[in-house]
Amino acid sequence: MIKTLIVEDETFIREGLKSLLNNITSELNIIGECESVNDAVKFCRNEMPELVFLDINLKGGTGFDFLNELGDVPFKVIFITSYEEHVLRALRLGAIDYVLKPVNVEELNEAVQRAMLISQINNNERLEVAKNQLIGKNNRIILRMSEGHQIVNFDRLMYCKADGGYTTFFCDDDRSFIVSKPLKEFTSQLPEDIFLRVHQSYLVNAAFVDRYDKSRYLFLKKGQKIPVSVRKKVSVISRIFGGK
Amino acid sequence: MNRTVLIIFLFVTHFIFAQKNNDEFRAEASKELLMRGEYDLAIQWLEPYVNSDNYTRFDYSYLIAAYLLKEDYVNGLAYSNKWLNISLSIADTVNVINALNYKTDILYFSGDIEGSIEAAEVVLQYYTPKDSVRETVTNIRLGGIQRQNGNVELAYTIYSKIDLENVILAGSEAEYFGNSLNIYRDLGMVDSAIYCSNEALKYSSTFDEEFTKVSQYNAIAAIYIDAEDYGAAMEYLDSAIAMSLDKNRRNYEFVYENYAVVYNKLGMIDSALVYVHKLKDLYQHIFMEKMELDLKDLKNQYDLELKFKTEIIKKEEDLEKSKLQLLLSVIIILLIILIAAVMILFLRNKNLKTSRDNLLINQQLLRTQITPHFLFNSLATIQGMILQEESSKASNFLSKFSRLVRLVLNNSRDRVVSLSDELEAIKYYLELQNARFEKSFSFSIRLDKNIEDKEVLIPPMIIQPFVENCIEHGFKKVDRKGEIDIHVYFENDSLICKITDNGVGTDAVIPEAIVPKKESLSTKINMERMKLLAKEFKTTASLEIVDRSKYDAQGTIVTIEIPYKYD
Repeated sequence: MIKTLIVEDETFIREGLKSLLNNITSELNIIGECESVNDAVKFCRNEMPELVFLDINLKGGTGFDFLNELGDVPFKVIFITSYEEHVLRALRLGAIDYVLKPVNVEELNEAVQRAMLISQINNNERLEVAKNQLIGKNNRIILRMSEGHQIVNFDRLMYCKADGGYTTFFCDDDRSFIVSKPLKEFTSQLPEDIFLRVHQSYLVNAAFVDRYDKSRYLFLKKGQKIPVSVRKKVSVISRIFGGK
Repeated sequence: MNRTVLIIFLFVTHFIFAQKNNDEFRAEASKELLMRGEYDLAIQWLEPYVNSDNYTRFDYSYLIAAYLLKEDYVNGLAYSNKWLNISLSIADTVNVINALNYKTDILYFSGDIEGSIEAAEVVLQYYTPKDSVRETVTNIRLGGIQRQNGNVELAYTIYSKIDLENVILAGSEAEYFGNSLNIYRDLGMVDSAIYCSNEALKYSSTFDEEFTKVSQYNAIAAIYIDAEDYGAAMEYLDSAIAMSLDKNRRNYEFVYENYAVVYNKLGMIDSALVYVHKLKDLYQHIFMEKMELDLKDLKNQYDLELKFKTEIIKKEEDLEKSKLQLLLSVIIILLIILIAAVMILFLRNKNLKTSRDNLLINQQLLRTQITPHFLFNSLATIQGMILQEESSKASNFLSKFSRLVRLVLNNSRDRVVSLSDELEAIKYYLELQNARFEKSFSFSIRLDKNIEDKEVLIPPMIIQPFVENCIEHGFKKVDRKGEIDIHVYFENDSLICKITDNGVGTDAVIPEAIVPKKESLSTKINMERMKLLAKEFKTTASLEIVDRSKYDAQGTIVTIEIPYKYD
C-alpha cells in the first residue's frame, strides 16, 4: 500500500479524485487531505507520504510554495492543474507527471502506474527545473527514458533529431539520449531563442553552429552536418548570423 | 602588331585612292554626258555632290555648264553665284575666277549684257601676270559682248591689245576671229572682216563650234550684203541654214533677217515676206517660251510658298497637338496624384480600422482568456459533485454555470452591453465561485436608485476581472471569511463601480511566477479599451486600486470609472 496525500483546496474536486482513485487501484492508501499550504507542510513533517497529489492553486499559496517549504522532497508528486499553460510547460521540462482537471480516468491511471514503477532518482532536480522555469531561470531539461531521468543542460545540448516517434538528443560530450516522444513535444519546451527548428527532423542549438553551407547544410563546431529545409533557410540564416 | 598597322594603312590608302578615282571618273563621265547632250542626266548626277561638302571644282563646272547648255540660266546663275561665294569665303582665287567666268557667260546668254560686262571686268582684276592666257580668253569674250552692247570702239580697243599667241595657246581662235570679223564689219573694214571670217571658219570645227560656225556664216553673209555681193551672201546664208539650226534659236534671228534683206535687195518681195513672217513666228515663239519660263518660275515660287505655308500650318498644328498633349499629361498626372491621395487616405483609414479591429479582437481574446481557468475548475467541481453523487448540487451548479457561460458569450459579441446584464453575469460568477468553496465568502451587489439600469450601456467584462482577482488571489492567503461588496453609482455624471474586499490587499506580495503578468496585461488592455470607448461616449474612464490599510482595514478597494452611454 502506497501512502498517499491529496493537497487540493476544493472539496468537491478532492472528493471526486478520491473516488476516482478508488476505482483505479487498491494499492493507494490515502493517509491525508489538505486544503492549504500550511496544513500540507505540517502534515508532511509528521507523516511520510510516498505519493502526493498536488493542486497548483491552494489556500495560502501555491503547490510550489508547499514544495519550497519542505526543501527536500522524498515523495513522488502528481500535479493536478486546470489550465495554466506556463505551468504545464514547466512540468513537462521537469518530466513531472500531472493530470488535468476535470480528471480523465485513463490519464490518472497512467500517472499513478508510472509513479509506482519509476524510482525517485533526480526527484529534487526535476522539481527544481520546473520551479526555475516558472521564474524564468531554467537552463536544463529532464528527459524521461525507460531507465530513468536524464538531466541535460541547454548549453551542452548540440541538437535533437527526430526519428519516427522518437527523439535523439546529441550532447557535446558525445553522449546521446533517445526519448520515446516526438520532436514536436520538445520544440515547445526548449527555449526558442536558443534552439532553432532548422528542419522538420532537426532542432539545433544556435551556439554550436559553425557555418552555413550553400548546399543548405549547417556545419556544427564538432563537424556534424545538419540539413536545412528550403522553407526555413532564410529565417535560419538571419537568426544565426544576423541580418542578410 | 605590325601586321595590323600595315593592314589598316593599306585599307586607308585604298580608300583614299578609290575616292580620288571616283572623283576623276565623275569628271570624265560628266564631260561625256554634256557632249552627248544628256544635260538633265548630268544635272541629276552632279547636283547631290555640289550640295554636299564633298565636291570638286569639276562638279561645279560641269553642273553650271549643263544648265548653261540647257538654257536654264536661272539655276546656272544660282550655282555660279553659290560657287563664287564659297570660293570667296575660302579665298580660293582659282575657283573665284572659274565661277566669275561662268557668271559672265550665263549673264551674256540670258540677255543681261550689262551684268555680263560687269562680271567680266571683275574677273579681269583677279588675274595675275601668269594668267595671261586666261585673261586673253576673258578679253575675247568681253570684246564680243561690248560690240553687241554697241560699244564697237571699246571692243576694237580691247581686241587690238590681244596677243595672237595667247589666243592660239588658249585655242580660242574661232571665237576671236568670229568676234573680230563682226567688229571690223561694224567699223566698215570689209577686207579685214573677210580675212577674219576665213580664219574663223578654219578654226571652228570642234563640237561646240557648230553654233559659232552658224553665226560666222551669218556674219560673213552680212559682210557680203554690206559689199552688195548678194550671190555670195545667199551662199553663206544657205550654208548657215544647212547646219542643224535647231540648236540655238538666237541664230535664226539673224539668218532670217539677212535672208529678208537679201531678197529685198534682189527685189524678190514675196520671198522676203516669207522670211519676215518666219522671223515674226520666231519672235513669237521666243516670247512664248520666255512667258512659259516665267510662268514656270512663278509656279515654282508658288509651290515653294505653298510648301512653306503647309509647313507652317503643320508646325502650328504640331504645336497645338503638343499643347493638347501637355494638357492631357498634366490632367493624367493630377488624376494619378488624386487617386494616390485617395488610396493613401483609404489605406490609412483601413489601418485605423484595422487597429481598432485588433483592439476588438484583443478584447474578445481577453474575454475567452479570462474564463478558461474558471471554466475548467468549474467543470472539475461538477465532476467532483457527480462522483460524490451530489446530484442536486451538481444540477444546480451546472444550470448557473451554463447561464453564466451564455451571458458571457452573448456579452462578448457586442461592444457594449446593458449594465444589468453585466451585473447579472457577475452575480452568477460569484455564486458559482462560492459554491466551489462551500460559501467561503459572502458578497453583495448594490445598484443606486438613480441608475436607470436598463438604459445604461457599458463595455462588457470590465468589472469581472477585478472580482475574479478578489477570489483567486485576495482570499487565498487569508483564513478569515471573505467579503466582496460591489457598489455601482453615479457621481457627477460619472458611472462609478467600487469593488471592496477584505482580502490580502495589494501590498501583499503575490509570487509573480505562478500568477503571471496576465492580470496586469488584462488590466492594461482593459484600460485601453475603456479610454477608447470613453472618447467615443464623450465620458471619462479611470481606474484606482487602493489597499485598505490606508483606512485601517484589510483588503482592497478598486474604483472604476466606467465609460457608458444611454441606450
